[in-house]
Amino acid sequence: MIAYIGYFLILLALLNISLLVVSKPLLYKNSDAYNNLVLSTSKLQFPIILLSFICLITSFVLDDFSLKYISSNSNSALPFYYKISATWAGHEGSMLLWCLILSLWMFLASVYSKSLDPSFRTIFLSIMGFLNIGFLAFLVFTSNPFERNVSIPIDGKDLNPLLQDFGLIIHPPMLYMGYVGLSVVFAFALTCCIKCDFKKEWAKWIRPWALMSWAFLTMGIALGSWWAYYELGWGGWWFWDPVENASFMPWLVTTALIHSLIICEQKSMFKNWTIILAIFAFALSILGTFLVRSGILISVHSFANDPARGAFILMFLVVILGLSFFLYFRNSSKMNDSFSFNLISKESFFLMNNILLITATFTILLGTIYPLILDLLGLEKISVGTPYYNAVFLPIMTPLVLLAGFIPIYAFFRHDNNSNLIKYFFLNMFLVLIFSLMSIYFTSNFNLFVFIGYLIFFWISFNLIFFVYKRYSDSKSLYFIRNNIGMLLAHLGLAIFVLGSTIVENNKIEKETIVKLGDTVEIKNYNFTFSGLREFEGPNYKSVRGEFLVKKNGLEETVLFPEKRLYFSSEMPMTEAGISPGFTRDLYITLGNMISDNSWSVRIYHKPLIRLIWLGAILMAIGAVLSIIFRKKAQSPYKATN
Amino acid sequence: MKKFYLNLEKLLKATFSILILSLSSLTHADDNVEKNILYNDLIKEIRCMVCQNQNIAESEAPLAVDLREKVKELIANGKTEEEIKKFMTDRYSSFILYDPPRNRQNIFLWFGPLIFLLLITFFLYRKSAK
Repeated sequence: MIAYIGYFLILLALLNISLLVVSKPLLYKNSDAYNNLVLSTSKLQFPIILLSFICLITSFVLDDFSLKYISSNSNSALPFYYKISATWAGHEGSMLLWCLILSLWMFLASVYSKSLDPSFRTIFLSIMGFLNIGFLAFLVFTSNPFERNVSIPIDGKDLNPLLQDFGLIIHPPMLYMGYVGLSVVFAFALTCCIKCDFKKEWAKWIRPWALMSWAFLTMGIALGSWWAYYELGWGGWWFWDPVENASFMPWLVTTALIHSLIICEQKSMFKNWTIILAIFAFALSILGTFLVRSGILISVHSFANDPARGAFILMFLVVILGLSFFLYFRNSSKMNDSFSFNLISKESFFLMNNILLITATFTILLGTIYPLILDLLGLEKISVGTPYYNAVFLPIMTPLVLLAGFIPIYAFFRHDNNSNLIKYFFLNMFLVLIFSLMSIYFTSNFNLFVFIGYLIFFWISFNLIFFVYKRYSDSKSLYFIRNNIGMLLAHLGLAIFVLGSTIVENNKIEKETIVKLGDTVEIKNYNFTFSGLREFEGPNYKSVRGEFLVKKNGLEETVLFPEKRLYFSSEMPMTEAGISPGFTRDLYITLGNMISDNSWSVRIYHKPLIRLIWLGAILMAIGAVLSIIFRKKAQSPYKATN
Repeated sequence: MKKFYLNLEKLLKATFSILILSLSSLTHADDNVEKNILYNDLIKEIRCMVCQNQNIAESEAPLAVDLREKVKELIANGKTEEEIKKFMTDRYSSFILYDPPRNRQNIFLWFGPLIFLLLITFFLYRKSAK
């Protein structure tokens, strides 16, 4: 019964949003009425889909195995909270979540867009409505979560054990909030194309939306990486897997976008370029969905796929991109956009930032689809992974992160008096060099990459300090901190991320060995003693749990419990790592195979500073949110002089 | 073309190894540690052929376990990184390595980003000069 209501509500939502199209010819004379209609349908969409989503969750909790989606993704023995998260663990449910989030963004966009002029607002919301129609049609025709089973099974198959995990409860909603949030930016950019205009104030209006999507994407990606680290059992935090790439590409383009929007707002430049970025950011997030859902990619993260769905998304993508570029090329020349600046100027540096980010995105796109193209052409199959990206992606990112250190220069650009610039610059470089060299002392395995990592970390952070100092000495007040705190935190987050990832990749210690009960393994100044092993039963799995006593310099530090689980529903054993997290290092143990009685193969990892990777990401996301909260409401005094 | 490629690679490798050697001469790791590092790096670059995009470090499939043992054995026999990689690609094609071969077929994969960078820089900065 509940499932019927849920299905009915989806159809109702599709009908509701289709009113946009149907009523357009009927109300073309009465634009006020049409504006109001668009507004009310946009607002109504969210509660309808929310109710439908609640119906699906309820069906999961009540174990309604008459639904195909539930019988293949849940099981009566599954704990209560995983039954709820199973709602978005498979393809159909995650598409419903996608539609729910799309309607949420549309709802927010219709509530907070009062300041836009009415005709602009109507076009903007209609475009969001069209996207809604597309995805709802996709849901109804190819991926209906409320589809019935022909015969009702006694029990469900169970949720994929990899997904029975806290990280995976919150990771998809976060990521989708980011992906779909880009639809607001996209719809907005397209409206500018249609209107042949992109006012400064509009750039100001759209930036918080772009920042919010970016913050969600950042958190979504970081959560995915954290999950892979503790769940997949080999201690890696990024694999350059196609699915990871699919989320990283929109992130990079959105990073470029939130920078170029600053120039749009402050200098009224880069408008066309920004519109292209907005279109691509959203197109890449749909492309990501296509790659993941169609099954043309093989990936550990892709849990559901079907060629028919792939064809639908590909068509949808072609239509969206085709229409966007048609509108763009027809109208962009009419837009009042200037693109002239000095080679050394804020505009120029921001453009370099954009160029490098776009090139980085292109590299990942190339690495992701090149093997597919070779496959299509019937050429030799290849795999593109970490070695390729280390060789090609990192050289693009290194100048980019160095460029991030140029922030204080903008403080100098505010005034004509630049006499101190060179002095500061060299003093700063000198300090960076000294500190980087000093850090060598604290590093066990030193090489060129570690040195570059230190250099980048100190370069960015010292420059941020210089920026604060310079702005303070110019204005003699700390008020500017309010407007810049988001930017400062986000860039500090970047520096911390770079430091963490370089150190862990170059200084980690990994040991694979066979231990008997009572054996001790030594890594650095840590002793790991295999002190116990016992079997126990969880709600829907059997488990063997090892016990490792960890001593540091002879003093007891912690006890780790790596597990090997066999879920009743699956053949493959799952490893659960025993992790002792710490700011300076993580200790990480996984159980491999049993060699003989009480003798196991184990992997023991020592990962220095790995937590900085996620700390950096969290700082970036917080920075973005603070930039939204403390964005400039009024014109700042020195704008007039620029 | 291929010869030019190889020479370029050799030159770059030589330059880099001199740089790294001169910087890391302070610390000298013993043989066992180096073998261990080589092992741990290699098993992450070798693809488990029967899994969905997993390396053999991650996978517990029988093939992955066997390949890990094989890598361990080859390292113990004193084989170098290049020799082990060649051993793998000879048996399983270059699909097994996450490092795509540098050959004519993949020329755009390796140089595409550079071409893209030059083109887009040229295009955008020319626009600004107008």
